[in-house]
Amino acid sequence: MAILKVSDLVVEFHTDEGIVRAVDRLNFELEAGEVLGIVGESGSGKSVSCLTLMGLLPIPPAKIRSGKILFGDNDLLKYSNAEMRKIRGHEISMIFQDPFTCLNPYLKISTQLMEVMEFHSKKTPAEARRRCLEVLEQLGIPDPELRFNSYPHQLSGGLKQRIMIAMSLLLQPKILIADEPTTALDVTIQAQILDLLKQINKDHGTSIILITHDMGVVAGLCDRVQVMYGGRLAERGSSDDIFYRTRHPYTKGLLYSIPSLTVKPGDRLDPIPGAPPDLTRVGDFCAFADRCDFVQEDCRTHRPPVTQSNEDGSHWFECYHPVEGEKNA
Amino acid sequence: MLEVKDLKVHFPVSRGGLFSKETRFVKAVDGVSFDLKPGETLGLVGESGCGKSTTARAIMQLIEASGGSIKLGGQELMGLTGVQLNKVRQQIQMVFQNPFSSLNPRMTIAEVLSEPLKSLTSFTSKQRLDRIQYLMEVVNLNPKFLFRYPHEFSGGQRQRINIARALAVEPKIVVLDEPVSALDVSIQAQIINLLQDLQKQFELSYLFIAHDLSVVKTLSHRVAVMYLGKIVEIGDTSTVYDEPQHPYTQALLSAVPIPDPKRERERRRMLLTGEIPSPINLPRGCSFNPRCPKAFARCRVEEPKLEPKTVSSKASCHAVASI
Repeated sequence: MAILKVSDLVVEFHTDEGIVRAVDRLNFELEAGEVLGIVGESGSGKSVSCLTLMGLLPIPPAKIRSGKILFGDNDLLKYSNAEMRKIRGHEISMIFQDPFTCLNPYLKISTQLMEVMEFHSKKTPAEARRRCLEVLEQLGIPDPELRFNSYPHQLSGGLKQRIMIAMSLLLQPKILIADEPTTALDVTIQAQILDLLKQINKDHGTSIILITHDMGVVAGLCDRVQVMYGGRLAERGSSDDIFYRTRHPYTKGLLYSIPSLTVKPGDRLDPIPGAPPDLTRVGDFCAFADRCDFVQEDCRTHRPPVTQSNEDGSHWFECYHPVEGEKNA
Repeated sequence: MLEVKDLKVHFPVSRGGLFSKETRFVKAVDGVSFDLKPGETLGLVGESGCGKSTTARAIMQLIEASGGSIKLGGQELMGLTGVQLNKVRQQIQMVFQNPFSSLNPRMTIAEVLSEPLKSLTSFTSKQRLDRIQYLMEVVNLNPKFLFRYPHEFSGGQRQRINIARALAVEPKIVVLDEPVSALDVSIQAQIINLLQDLQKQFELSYLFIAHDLSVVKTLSHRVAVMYLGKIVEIGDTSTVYDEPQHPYTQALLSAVPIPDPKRERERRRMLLTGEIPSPINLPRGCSFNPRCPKAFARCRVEEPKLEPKTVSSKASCHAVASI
């Protein structure tokens, strides 16, 4: 069952260089209890679409041109700021990339966690405190009492990210959006945090949207994957669909160009030529056309429709000339 | 060609009261030794704070080392100044991590690329122009762009300019400090391939510093793994990656996500508990012992030495037998 349904979302930014269409007619659903990965390079619209879900877009310069975000039966885009404030934290919460800048350096962890509880719940201070410590303990934070009374600078990056995750889980939201939660962390700490997200998903049934550029992280954690390019959908399907039955040339390029531990020293990589598109200039044609090996005339004259790859309707791509068949299984 | 022996960089940090005379040291690099052969890439990997960038900066003489020796073609670099240092700098150049902050925004690309030629060579202005046009071609940029400013370029293009600047004075060694980590994945591959091409074309030696183990594997002939200011394992890339000896190397490799869902599902991770200890207050014995699954009594009192563990790699660990 879909818990969140985004349809026909268009988000524009009005800048000095022109109108940037950061998200361009995007549709997707989030199923209850799943981990959905959203993958793309900078400027692919992955973060902007999730900020829109949270009602955190700076308007202006941003402008939501059209679309619906259905959470249950309600369209979140019609909500006022006050109404959104009740959704954030309670129903949908978010953790950000940089644990170093997301905590207020002047306030103790206790103050920052308790603030959430005071604002959103009717618990007494003692109950709220107990809840905070309970969550810290669940997240495997050693010596929770001590960390609870620390300042952010006394904690390492990995611990700060755990605190951010704790903060987002205090009110038991149904959806957790994690925007590059491990990009700023070292790989051994990254592994710990990814394990933690997996555990949260399993234990509490929290649906997770994981935004990342790292195909390795996606492979380990996500049930379904949505690859984005130039503010649009490139391809969406189960992890296996995306990795083993790739249809979109961009997804294929991405998979071939990443160095992985399976390469041999001195191996050549197969990069995608060119650079990501200038979003002020993408018109009604395929955003990937200039970098694509499979490009043909129609790619440059019309935007390809979203096409279904298999019978059961779980694998979709936006391309006229998709890659055929199975590969590197 | 480059020989680093027992390199130490200790930063003083004052502790205690304002008038306290006691000084303590952060041992950012503590006894690092390695050599770099002509035409070879040595990868230096490790997590943040392990001292890999500090090692690079000490080699470049950008920070002063507290001890040890750095020899380039037999010549000692420690303590060099002025003209002599410039001569050395002609042979060893560096590319920095962040392509957005390492180019002066007020200089055109032509000025950026002429700078090292002006200060390190006696080229005439005509020779300089020829050289920078050639450099642009070498890194696959259109020489037409020479009179543009850095903000007009994308991250990948800027990194190409940085590489061109490093190559301007025909160095033998290039120190690459995380040259691709600020770039998008599709651009990373372009730069990695370019670095491979340039190495062959100019017979360059690279000291390649990165935290991304997959990138390091692609580029390096040999790899050194650092932890808390020391090399804990060093050897041929395939040996270190396929038969890691040190428990830290094993943990590091097992933490790298693999872009393949089936392999990820089947895989057993070796999760490290805890965090990297503070380099001011290093644990006694082996500095990895508080996080090490194989630690035993000896590890807590005696510091292990870097010893051969396989035919083509060395590691410092009491738990693994030396050969």
